[in-house]
Amino acid sequence: MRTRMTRRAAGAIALAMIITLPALAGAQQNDWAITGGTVVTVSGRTIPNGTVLIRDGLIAAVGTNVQIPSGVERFDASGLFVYPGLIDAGTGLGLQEAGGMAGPVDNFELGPYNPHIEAYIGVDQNSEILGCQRVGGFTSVVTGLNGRGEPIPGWDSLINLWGWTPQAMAVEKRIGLRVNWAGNRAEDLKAYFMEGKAYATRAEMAERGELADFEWDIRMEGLIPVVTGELPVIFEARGEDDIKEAVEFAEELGLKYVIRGGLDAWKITDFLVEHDVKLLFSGIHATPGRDEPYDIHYATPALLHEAGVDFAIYSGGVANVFSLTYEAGMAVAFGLPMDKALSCLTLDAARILGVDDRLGSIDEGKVANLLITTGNPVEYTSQVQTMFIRGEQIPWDDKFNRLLRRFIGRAGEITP
Amino acid sequence: MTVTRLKVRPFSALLVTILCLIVVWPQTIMAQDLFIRGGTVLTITEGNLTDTDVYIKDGRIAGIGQNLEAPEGVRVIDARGLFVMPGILDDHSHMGVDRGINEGSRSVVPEVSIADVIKHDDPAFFTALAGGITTIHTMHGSANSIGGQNETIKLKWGRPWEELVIKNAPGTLKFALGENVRRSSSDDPTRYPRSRSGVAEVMRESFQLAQNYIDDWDDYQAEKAAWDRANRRNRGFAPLPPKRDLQLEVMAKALRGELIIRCHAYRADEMAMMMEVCNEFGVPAGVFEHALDGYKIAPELARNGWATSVFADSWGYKIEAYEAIPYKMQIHYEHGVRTSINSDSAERVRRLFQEAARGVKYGGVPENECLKMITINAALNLGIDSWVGSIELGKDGDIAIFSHYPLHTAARCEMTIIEGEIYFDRSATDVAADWVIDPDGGDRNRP
Repeated sequence: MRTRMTRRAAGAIALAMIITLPALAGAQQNDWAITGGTVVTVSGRTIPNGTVLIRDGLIAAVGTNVQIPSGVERFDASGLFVYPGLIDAGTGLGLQEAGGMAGPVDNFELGPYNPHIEAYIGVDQNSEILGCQRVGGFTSVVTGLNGRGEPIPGWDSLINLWGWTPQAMAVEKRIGLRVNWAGNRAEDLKAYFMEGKAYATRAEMAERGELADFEWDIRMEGLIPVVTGELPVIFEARGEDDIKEAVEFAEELGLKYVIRGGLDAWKITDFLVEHDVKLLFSGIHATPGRDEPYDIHYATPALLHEAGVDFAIYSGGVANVFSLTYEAGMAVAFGLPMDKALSCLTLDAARILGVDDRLGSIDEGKVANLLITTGNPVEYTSQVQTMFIRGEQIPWDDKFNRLLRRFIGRAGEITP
Repeated sequence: MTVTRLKVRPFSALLVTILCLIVVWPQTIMAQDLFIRGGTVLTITEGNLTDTDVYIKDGRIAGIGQNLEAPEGVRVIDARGLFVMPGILDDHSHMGVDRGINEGSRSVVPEVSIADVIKHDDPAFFTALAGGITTIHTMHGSANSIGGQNETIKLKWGRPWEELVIKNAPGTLKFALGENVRRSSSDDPTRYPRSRSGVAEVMRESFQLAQNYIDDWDDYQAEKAAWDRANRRNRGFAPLPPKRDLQLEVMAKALRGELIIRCHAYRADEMAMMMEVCNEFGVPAGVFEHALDGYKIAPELARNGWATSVFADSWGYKIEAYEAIPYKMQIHYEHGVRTSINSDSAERVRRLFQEAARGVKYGGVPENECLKMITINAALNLGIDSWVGSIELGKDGDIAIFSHYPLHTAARCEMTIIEGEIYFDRSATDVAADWVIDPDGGDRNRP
């Protein structure tokens, strides 16, 4: 036992050194040629013994016959797989650290309507909880304020899970304006959005010099991108009626929108297809109500897929975002094709969020957010060995791995 | 255990007797007889056996082997292409407790018992069965230093609660340390103890009072024996027995090792404290519940013989949960600390097999070792490994049948069997079919 553990400890330390070396050297390395691995592009083919060339943090080439320029660092992925980084399309990451205390929880603002505030700005880029999500293969997440379920808690942001500042992490500072739908809020929300529309018109007139007495309003400014249909509203709606009402509300006001939540979506798949609803679904592991089929939430993604609903999944979590792969896996056990499950965490998530031009698959021109794994990240037992975010190899020094390295070495102290 | 197994409902017994009298049976086929044909049998303790049959007779495993002959008339389950594993155990649960998880009036309440508040028709039992669970340890909470006696039960959903209880299972006693015991979430804590140091002294005091109680009774027994032996004429008044104390009676059992200590603990210092106090009083090692920071003192846990029952990867929900890592199973395993993976939740219990898979993902624990963490290790933690936790001859016929290897994506529990009786059969209800959880209709899923 002693020998085995000592060797493992030594291995862990050696691995730590290899992985942290680039970071220690201080040079940011964004040019790589990842060779020898099986490249699962998600958008199309799977390429055995493929090469992914990364230049300036972007994917410059993918294939079997890629010319590797001199001076580009090689990463040998032989025997391993290359997947696009996973995306969780709904979390509270960076806005709260350990729960149970008021101090580190920064996920709500006072007042019912805050369409002007943005989530990314409050993200603690050094959050331990945020960093640990990388071990599950997550490279990008949507994060947002939602602590108390206010009607408009603010703008959700899409961030990479790596960067020296929140600004550097942000992929889209405004990925969508969160609206927590509830039937009894409909009238007030409608009035508020109408006010926003009127404001947007006045602002435009003022811009053209046609309005002399324009009064600038910080909240109304936040509404402009959604009332003009430039950016989406992300309605959180879980119940059957709530989902329908939110969709009808968005259609009536001509909003670009996404529904998130969708626990009851299985009941209204026809409606969702008919209205071309983009759905971010959460709750595969939710416990069924007493009047519901006992395994309905496990089976919902498969039912949505069969019905042709356009959807991806998200965790809605903070500390255990990395476990979302297990929710995807459970959906597979209950009938969702493996490829679709993976796409729910990559390309479909990116597309529904409107960033599939940059993220979600391994294609030329996209951001080099990549995983090196032992298998499909949706497979329960696959291990993520390392990852690249914007072409930079991430030092595997999150809190989980630091503590692992510190304490696994205690093996030698065992006395009989 | 034996009692449970042999217990036959009077009406059924009568019916069977009458039938036997009327008809000449080649042999009596009981409901608890079942033949599971041709699966990949994950015995847990004796390797994986392909194309293997499992024969359950009178609720016990009576045959394991290839090409066994199914006795005439016995119900045969075709498990070819499927994976047959022992019923999964969840050794930290609060299911089926009808209020009474925490008796929070005082911090030391070993006298209270979960057995008094079992809600046998908890619908969560059914959804747990659908995840392959057959046995749970349903417990008091962590609000008290010493929270009461727990109960080990089988999920015989639809049966009266007396039939759920594993009667020969050793008793277990809940202890707790850390933030919950200190009532730290309260703005105005009024209950002693409020500090970890205080909790330690409460443990010491409780064990010392129990020791005094044992001594008082030993003294009394000695005096009484002497009095009995004395010449009738010179005996004088008979010695008076000490006052009976229901709380100290339980603590005395714990002190003598007649109850398994199950101690809620998060931080390493708390566990070190508990081991120190137990060693002082010669209390046998027990099980640390959750043991989030157990990996930091794995050598000490191993040396002192303490086991753990952990969350696979939950963390960060409070400050004492801020150092938990998903690699804990790896570290425990490499140090020889016996570890089970528990749910502590009516939700998570439905997919403990998936929780166990995290041991492979985070740290590469061998697959069978991960399966042990939801079967035999949990049985060992509860002292019921002679009956459950593996597929071995003579053990209870508690089986979960999975569509795929239970640690792999796509694995789905298809059937759950307790003592040869089918309590969950997925084929009896299609996914998302018109099937609702209904405690009053508990028997509907029984074939």
